[in-house]
Amino acid sequence: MRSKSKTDDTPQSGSTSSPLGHADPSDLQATKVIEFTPQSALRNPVQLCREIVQNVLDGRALAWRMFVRNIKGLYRQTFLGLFWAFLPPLANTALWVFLSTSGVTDFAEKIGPKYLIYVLTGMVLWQAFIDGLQAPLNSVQANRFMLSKLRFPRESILMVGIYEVLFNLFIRSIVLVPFLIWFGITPEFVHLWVPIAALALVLLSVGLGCLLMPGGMLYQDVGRFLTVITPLWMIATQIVYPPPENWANNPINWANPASPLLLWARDLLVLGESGHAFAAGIYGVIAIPIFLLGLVVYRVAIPILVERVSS
Amino acid sequence: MTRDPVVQVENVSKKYCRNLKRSLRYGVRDLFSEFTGSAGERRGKLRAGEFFAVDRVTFNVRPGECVALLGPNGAGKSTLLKMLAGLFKPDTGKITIRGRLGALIELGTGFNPILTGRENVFVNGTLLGLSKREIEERFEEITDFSELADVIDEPVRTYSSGMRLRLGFAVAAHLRPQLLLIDEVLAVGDVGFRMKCFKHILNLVDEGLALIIVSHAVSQLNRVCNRSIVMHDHRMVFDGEFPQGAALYEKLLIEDRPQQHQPSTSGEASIESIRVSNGIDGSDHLYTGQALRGEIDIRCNQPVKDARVRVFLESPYGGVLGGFSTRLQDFRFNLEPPGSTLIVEMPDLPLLMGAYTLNVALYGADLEHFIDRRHPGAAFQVVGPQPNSFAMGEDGMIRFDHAWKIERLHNDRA
Repeated sequence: MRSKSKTDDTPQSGSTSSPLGHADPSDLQATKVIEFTPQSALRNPVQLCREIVQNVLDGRALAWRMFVRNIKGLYRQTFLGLFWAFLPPLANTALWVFLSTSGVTDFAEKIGPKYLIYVLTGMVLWQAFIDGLQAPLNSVQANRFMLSKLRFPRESILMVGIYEVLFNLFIRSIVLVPFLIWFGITPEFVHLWVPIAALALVLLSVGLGCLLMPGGMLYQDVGRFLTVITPLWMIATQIVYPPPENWANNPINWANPASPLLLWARDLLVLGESGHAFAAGIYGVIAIPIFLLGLVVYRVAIPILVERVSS
Repeated sequence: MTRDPVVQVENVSKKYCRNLKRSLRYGVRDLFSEFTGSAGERRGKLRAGEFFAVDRVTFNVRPGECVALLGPNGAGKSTLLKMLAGLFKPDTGKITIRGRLGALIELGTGFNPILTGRENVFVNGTLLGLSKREIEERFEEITDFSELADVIDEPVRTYSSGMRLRLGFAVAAHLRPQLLLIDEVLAVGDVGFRMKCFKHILNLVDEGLALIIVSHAVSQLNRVCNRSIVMHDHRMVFDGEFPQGAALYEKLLIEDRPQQHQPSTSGEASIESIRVSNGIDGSDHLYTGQALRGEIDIRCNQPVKDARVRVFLESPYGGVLGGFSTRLQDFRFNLEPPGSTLIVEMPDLPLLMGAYTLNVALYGADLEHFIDRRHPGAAFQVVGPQPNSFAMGEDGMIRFDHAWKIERLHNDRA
């Protein structure tokens, strides 16, 4: 929606006929003028970007409140509380460690004694990626009633989604710490790259999630497809087994947006070195434009989606 | 000195598609045209299965104006309001809003039942655009207004729906917007609180707030509204004084109702038409206390001896208000082909402002001898004088003759 917001000097109670008439110095409260027109928001990209930035700034307080509300509400009615945040990666890791130690797979042999922490780190990062990918669609879906009834900075809903992804990532990282100590992994300078890679991974996944969101809001097929594809995708992302020697020769590995950043971060943390630095660098750099593109798509699509799905 | 309008609506339309599959397909297309930047040109044209839910509406609202947006269900009021609130994008035209916009499309949206009232006030306030400091400053006012100070730290889950409404309105009422849009939200809640809301709104309007309110409870609106806009079949059909608009709206409600016209199978006679006028200039605009003249044309095929006519007055809200038969005054008449016009006069009309119908049923001499009826019959409007319904005058639909006097209590009676 092109809602052109500009601050107009027209006095509240003046008799000026032109909207850009003479400012009344006695009237300190400048009037905000909003216009709603059928024009595409992309007609004026500079205006659009300014609005997105403004909305993100305006929406911070709201996003924080909704985030706190969600977190409080989420765990107030549970007995185990935050445990539910780190159950999925723990359970998944336990399964693969069990399969390996009972001889069903030989993954543990290939990795060595660090197999558990290798899988667990991968799972934590993978969960962050999937959370980020689903966050835009889930957040908009959960708040669609509010979107159709209330006017507020639309970006704040997306921000809540991102906060939640980061919060969960943070909680799971804390769980990771005792395991890291147990396996004798001590802090190294190279580990500073890990949180940066994790943030880039979240940025990338949220950006991609924003691109999927409009289609997902109109047709449930998108959400269903994601549910079906997620476990297969996880296997293809080489979380539970070491990537093959010729990883770089397979274009599928390059095309998998989850793979390079995740493998790089995990290898750095667990093994102290990684052969995925180049691929991860490329994805780290394109994560930013993809995220920004996602923001624009989100902003432009929301009013149209609200019309179609509200009633 | 006229003030600049707070809202300018110029030639605004909105398309709508009832078919879900098609609507979703159009949604995909709209997304594409939005991203290619070509949305503006094609938006004004209808596609298969679409219609204009709001069709070329134009109006302005100035500070201090309180506009009732009236219209039968499906007339396009809510869609228009959602465009004003910036929730929907117009397909044609332009909406300009000067000043802080507050919209109450639904109260308590975003209340989380698990959180306490206090926590929800903060979430809801932020949602409506207040900063943390502003909410803290007004928190006491909000709890006082909602009368929920005792339970404000209890989870909202334990609140009754009326309490939730009170909390929602209290937060919204302390927004201090320059334009407030309200959709149907005051229809619920107890009378005392509703009065408080109206009083609060009136104060805000006095301070220069512009208000647009959608409601079906017309009798409540005349407390606050000084103007009305009537929508019918997606178009704006009236913009002017509140009483006239309200009467027109009620008339539209009556006209939209299906006609029940069921002459008996014998076909001996039928009610051809009914006209209601003020008996002075033939207009169907009447005033309380003036005369009502009804003319009932009856077409007759076979003679009916000692026929009876029963007339009853109905309001779209109040239902049947009362009726009387020709027999009440022992008025006896026979019907002969080709028919007659029966005239009924009520010299001192006791109806207050609003729209009503004069319904007619025709019978023969015997109790079970039904011939025909028109329901609803002729619609007419009582357009004045405006009652003062703020518990300072008379209100409702009927004027009652009455007298007051006061007598002292005697102590020995106890």
